[in-house]
Amino acid sequence: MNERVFRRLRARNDPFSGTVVPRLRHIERDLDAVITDAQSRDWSADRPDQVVFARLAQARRRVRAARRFPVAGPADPVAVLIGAAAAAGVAGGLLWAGVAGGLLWAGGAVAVRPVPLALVAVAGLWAAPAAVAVLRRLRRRWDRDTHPGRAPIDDPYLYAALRRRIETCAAAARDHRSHRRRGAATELEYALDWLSAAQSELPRR
Amino acid sequence: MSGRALHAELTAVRALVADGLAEVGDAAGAGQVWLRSACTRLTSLDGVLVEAAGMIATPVWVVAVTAVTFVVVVLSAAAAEALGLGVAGVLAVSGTALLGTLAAGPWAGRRVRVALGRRRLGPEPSPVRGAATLTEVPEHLLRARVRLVSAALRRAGADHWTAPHLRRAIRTDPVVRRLAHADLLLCQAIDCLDRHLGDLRKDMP
Repeated sequence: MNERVFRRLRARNDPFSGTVVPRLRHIERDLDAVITDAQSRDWSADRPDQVVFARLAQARRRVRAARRFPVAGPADPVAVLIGAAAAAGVAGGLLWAGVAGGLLWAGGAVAVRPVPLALVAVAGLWAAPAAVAVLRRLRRRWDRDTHPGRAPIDDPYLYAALRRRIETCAAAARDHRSHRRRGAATELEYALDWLSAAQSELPRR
Repeated sequence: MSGRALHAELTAVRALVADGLAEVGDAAGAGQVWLRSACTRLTSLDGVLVEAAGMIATPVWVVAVTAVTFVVVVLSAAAAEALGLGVAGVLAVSGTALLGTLAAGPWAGRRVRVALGRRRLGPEPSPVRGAATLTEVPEHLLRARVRLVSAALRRAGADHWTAPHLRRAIRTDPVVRRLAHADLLLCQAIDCLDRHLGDLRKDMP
């Protein structure tokens, strides 16, 4: 997901296009990708700078506060999906095999034995961490091959695009009926302040 | 990095942060926005550190969830059988019970992590008064940040100190993710303090 976000951020032939009101969730996701990238570069001493990403994170906090339902999803949705799919697949397969093979039936009576059923559930549960471990190994291999590339946080067009999107959201929220949405416009103005504060700290060339 | 070394590092970071927080909290008056903002960041930093220290190792977690799953499925299947439901009824009842239990997992896990982290890190460190004046607090906090980041890097493993690997670790590893969040809060607090001190310097003739 990260790579995809970066590719979209880099494709910037016209950052001022777009007529729909952008979604705060997507703005937050893009900010998240940029902040994580900048922090990892700071940690690996690739691009040491502790101010800009901290200020961008303040902007992200404001954007999150402006969302209507500020729920944080799972931190790693891909792993959750793959684990759930593996668990459901293994449990369903075992259940089907048990029903077909007659293992789950109490001597032909119309009932399911509790203990084999629980064993099926446990087997499904153990399939999830196994699948996630495979995914982690694959990701390590992919990460070894990826080149760090340029940091998206240095990109002035990123700030222009983000400002444009947040301003569109704030304008849509400002004349909303509900006072809560109008309060969200205030939060978004704070986010814009933090965004320009972050941009003012960028190294000039 | 072993668990105990991580806990020792986090305890040291916590003590440093408590010193800084005491100094900033003394200086923060009603109108000083930056100092109050820094106080908020440092206060929430403590909770993040506690949660990072209370992380449960994956094998322990898998064993606990396995036991819970087994018990829930056995009990619910036995209850449905006693009620005289058919095969589909038993499967539906036990499946619903299992999904409900697993949905309560994050909530329960958070409770367990906080309690465990409190126990591992010991009681709240009592701040040393006068350890640093307000102008020295940013350097004090920077020292805490160095320890925090080095703990996070050791946790990520010496083979993974490139930007793509660290980015992945921040996104997926639960401990590193929380340490990254704590690092972010620390950077924001340092930034707020620097802005306050910069304002003071501007006011001076």
